[in-house]
Amino acid sequence: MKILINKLLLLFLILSMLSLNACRKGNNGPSWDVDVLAPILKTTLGIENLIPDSLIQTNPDSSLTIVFDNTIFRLSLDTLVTLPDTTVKERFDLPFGSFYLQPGQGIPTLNNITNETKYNLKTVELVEAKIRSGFVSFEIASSIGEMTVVNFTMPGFIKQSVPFSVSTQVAAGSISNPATAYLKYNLTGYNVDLRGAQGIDFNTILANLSVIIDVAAPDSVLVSTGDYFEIKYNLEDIITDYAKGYFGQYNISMNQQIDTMDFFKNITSGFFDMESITMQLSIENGFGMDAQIVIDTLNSINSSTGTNVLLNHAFIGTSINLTRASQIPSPGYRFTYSKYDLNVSSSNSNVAEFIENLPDLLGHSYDITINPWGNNSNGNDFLYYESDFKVNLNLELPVSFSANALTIEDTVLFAASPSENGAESNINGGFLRLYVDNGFPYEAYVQIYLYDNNYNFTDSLISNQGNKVTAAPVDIWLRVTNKVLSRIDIPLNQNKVDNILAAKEALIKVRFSTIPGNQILKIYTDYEIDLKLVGDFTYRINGN
Amino acid sequence: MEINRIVIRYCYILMAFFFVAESSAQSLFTLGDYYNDSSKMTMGILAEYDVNSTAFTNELYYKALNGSFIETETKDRVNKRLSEFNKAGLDLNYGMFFSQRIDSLFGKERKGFHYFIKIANREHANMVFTEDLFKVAMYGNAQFAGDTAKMGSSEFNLLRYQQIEVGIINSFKGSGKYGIGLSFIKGEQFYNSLISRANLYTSQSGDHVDLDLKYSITQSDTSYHGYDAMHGWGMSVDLFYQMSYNIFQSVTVDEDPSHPSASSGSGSGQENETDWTGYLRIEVSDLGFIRWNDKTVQEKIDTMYQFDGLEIQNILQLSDSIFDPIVDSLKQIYQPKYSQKAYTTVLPTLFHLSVYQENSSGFYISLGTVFRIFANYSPFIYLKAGHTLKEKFRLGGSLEFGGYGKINLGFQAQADVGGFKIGLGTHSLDGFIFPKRTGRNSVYLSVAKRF
Repeated sequence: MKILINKLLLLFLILSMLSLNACRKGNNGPSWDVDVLAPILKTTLGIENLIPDSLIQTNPDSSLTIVFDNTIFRLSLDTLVTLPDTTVKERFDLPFGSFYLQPGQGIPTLNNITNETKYNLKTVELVEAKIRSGFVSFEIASSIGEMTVVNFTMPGFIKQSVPFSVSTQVAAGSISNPATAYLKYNLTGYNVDLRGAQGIDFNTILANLSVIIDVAAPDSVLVSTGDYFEIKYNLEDIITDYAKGYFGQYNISMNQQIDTMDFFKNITSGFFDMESITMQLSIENGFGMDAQIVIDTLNSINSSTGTNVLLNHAFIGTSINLTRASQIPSPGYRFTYSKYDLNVSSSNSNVAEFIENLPDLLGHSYDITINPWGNNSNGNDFLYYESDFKVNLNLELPVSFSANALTIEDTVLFAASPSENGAESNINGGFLRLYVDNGFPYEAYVQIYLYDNNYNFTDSLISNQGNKVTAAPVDIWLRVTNKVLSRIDIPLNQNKVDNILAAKEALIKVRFSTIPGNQILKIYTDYEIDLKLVGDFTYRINGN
Repeated sequence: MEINRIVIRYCYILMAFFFVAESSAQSLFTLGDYYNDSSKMTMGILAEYDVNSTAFTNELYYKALNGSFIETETKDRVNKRLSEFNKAGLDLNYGMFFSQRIDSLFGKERKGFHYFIKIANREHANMVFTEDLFKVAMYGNAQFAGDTAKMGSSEFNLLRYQQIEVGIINSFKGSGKYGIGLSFIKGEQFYNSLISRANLYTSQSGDHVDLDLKYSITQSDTSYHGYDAMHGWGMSVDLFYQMSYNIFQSVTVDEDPSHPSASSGSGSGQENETDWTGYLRIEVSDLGFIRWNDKTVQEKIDTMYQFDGLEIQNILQLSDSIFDPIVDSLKQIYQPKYSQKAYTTVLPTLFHLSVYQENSSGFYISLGTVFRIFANYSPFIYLKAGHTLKEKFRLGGSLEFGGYGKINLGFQAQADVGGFKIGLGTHSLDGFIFPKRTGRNSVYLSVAKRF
C-alpha cells in the first residue's frame, strides 16, 4: 500500500513540475514522450572568429586586411658564441718527508699562483664580454692539520670597478678525514676582460690563487707524507650578455625550413581571386658583424592538393649583403638592426599564384655567410644577448575576393559526452534546427562529419539537400544590405544521437561561393553570421 | 400528496438502482464509527485509500503505478477531461480504535457515554493545476510555439502524520448523539509546491523561450522520512452533533378506495403515517494544525528569464569546459532564495452535513454535502441508499459529485457475523469498470469486534 501511494505521489509530483526535491523513495516510475521546442546554443561569427585578431587590420573604410607579419627565420646568439663550462684544478701533494708551516705561511705550489685559461671558441676571438648569468664554484679538499685560508681573485672580472675576489677558510683535516668545502658565487653582471695577463690575447681568463695557513692558527703545523691540498674552480652556465672581438668567417647553410600559414590551413579546395597582394621580406641583422644571405627557395605548399609554387623573383638565389648592426640604441634594443627590405608584388613576381595556391605551409632555405670579408672591423665585432639575424615575412591580403566553391574544413574536438543521467539517450526523434542569419555575401553549403576515437567516419549530420545557407544581398556598392535567414535541419533519431555521443571529433566542412558569382567583394568589420541551434525533438521522460 | 408519492417512488427507484447503504460519512475516520450503542466495548481496524481527480484517469494511475509507458492515447483521454483549472487528491488512512461504554462521568452517573482511543496513520495529497501545466508536462512545449503556456496558479500539497486521539461520545434520546475527540499529532512529512505564476512563452521557431516564474517550495526536514520521523507536532479536534430528524414523518399515502376500510373512513383521502426515522448530522473533522520544526526549508523564486540558447564564444571549441560555466551561470539565475525556519500548516479540515433516513423494512437513504478547507477541495454532494438483508447483511450504493472529481458511483457491502462487523466498499465502482474515462479510485475496509 505504501509503495502504491508513493507511486501516485510521484505522479503528482512529476505533473506539478516543480517538485524538484521529490519525497519519493526509489521505484521504477512511468515514462512518457514530450515534444520539446527550445533553443540550445547560439553564437555569432564575425571575421575575427574565422581569422585571429592578431592578423586582422581594419582599413579606414572598415574593410579588412589580413596582415601576416611573422619571423620565418632566426639566427640567435648561441648559434655564434657559447662559452663552455670550464674547470681548473690546482693541487699540492707531499709524496715523502715532512716539514712545518708557520701561521700565515703559504702552502707550497699554491702560494700566489696565476692561471690563464683559454677558451677554445674555434674561429671566434673574444676580447671582452659581459656575463648575463653564470657561476664560479669551488671544490676544496685538505688534509692539512690546521685551518687554511684560500684567496682567489679574477682580476679580469670586474663589477662596479671591483674585481671578483673570494677569501675563505678551510677547516683542518687529516689524510684519513680530509676537510672539504663547496662554494658557489654568482657572476651575473661582471664585465670580463678576455685579453689575458698581457692584454693582447683573446678568449683568456686570468685567475690568482693563494692558499696559506691561517694567521690565527695557534702554532705551526706539521705537513707530512701523504698530506695534500686540492682546489678546483669551475666556470659554469655562463651566458653572455655582450661580447666583443672577432667572430670569425664561416658559412651557415639552412636547408628547407617549413612554417605553417594558419589562415590558409583549413581551406582544402576551390578557387578564389584576390584583389591585390602585397608581400615584403625584411632581413634584419642585429649582430655587429657583416653578413651575406642567399635566399635559395621560398615556396608555397598546399598540403591538401599537393601543389607547390616556388616564388619567382629577382632576389631568389642572389647574394644580399647586410652591413653590421650599430651600437646605437634603438627603441627596445641596445643596438640598431641593419635592415634590408625586399618588396614582392604581382608586377615583379608570381606572388598572386603563390598566395592563391592557398598555402598552409611555407618552405624556405638560405645560405648565410658571417664576416664574408674577414676581420675588417679589426676585432670590433660585437653582439648582445638579444642580437639575432632574422628574416620577416610581411604579407598583406585585403579581405576582398571572389570565391567559387572555396571549401574550408576544420576538425574540432567533439566533447558531447553523455550527461550524468544519460538524458540525451531519451531523444526519440526530431530535429536539431540550425538557424543561420547570414550577413556575408557568400552562399555556403555546410556539412558536419563525425569521427570516432580512431578517426573512423561514423556519421554525417546534415542531409545534402538541405544544407544551403543563402548569401546576404549586396547593394550597388557591393556592400551587404541585410542578413538572410536560412535553416538547416539535422534529423535526429536514436542512432544519430548515439553517434553524436560517441563521436570524438567532428569535421566541419563549409563550401563558399560569392554571390553574385565572380565578383570580388570586400569583407567589412560589421559582417557577421548569427547561428542558433534549436532542438525540436521528442524526448522521453522517465519518472525514476 | 401526489408529489410526495412521486418523490418516494423515485427514491425507491434510485435505491433499487444503486443498492442501499447505511454509511453516512465520506470517510471511515469519523467519530460516529468508533462505538456501538449496544456494546460495552468495541475494537476495530479501519483502512481506506481514495484517489480522485477532475482530469486524471484510472488508466493513468495504473500506468503510473506499474511504471508503464504512458501512450499519447492515454494522455489524450486525460486531455479531454481538462478544464482551465483541474484538481486531484489522495487520501490514505489506516488505524485502529477502541471504545468502551461508561456509566459515569466526572463522578456523576451518566448513561449513554462512550470513550474511545484511536491511533492512525494519515496521508493526504492534493493538487490543483492548470490545463497548460498538464499539456507542457505531458506533451511538451512544442504545441505552444508562438504562444504562452500559463501554468500558474498551480499547487501541490502533501501531508503525512500520525495521530492518537481520545474522545467521548454521548447518545441521548432517539438518534441524538454528540461527540468530541482530541488528537495529538506527530508530523512526519510536509511538502508544498506553489506556482503562483509560470508563463512560458515559446517563439514560433523555438529560438527563444521566456519564462515568467514565481514559485515557492516549502518542505519539512528532508533528512529522513518514515514512521519514526518526527519533524513536527500538532493538535486537532473532531466534533459531531446528530439529532433525530425524520423527513418523511408527515408523509402519508392514500389507501386504495377499493379496500373495504375505505368506505368506512372519512373519505377517499384518508392518510397513514409512514415508519421512516432518521437523523441530521453535522460533523467537523481534522480541525487542527501541525507546527513543523525549524529545519523546515522554504525556497522562493520570482524571476523573469529569457533563454535564447547557451552563448558559445567559439563554435569551434565545443567542450565541457565551455559549457560548464554557462550551465553554472544558469544555475545562478535559477538559484532560489532559501530560508529555514519553523512553519505551521493547517490541517485539511472537513465539514460534513448529512441527512439519514431509514424505514422499518430496511431501506436507507442518505444525502449529504462535504466541504474541505485548506485542501483545494470543491464542494462535494452525495446521495446514498442501501438495504439491510436479514439484519446481518447490507448492500448499498452511492452517487457522488464534486470534491477532487466529477460524478462517481460507489458500492458498499457490510456483514455482521459472529460479533464482527465487516465493511468493504468503494467510492469508485465506475472507476473499476471504466478506467479510461473515470478519475476516482478508492477502497475502504473496516472490521470491528463488539464485546
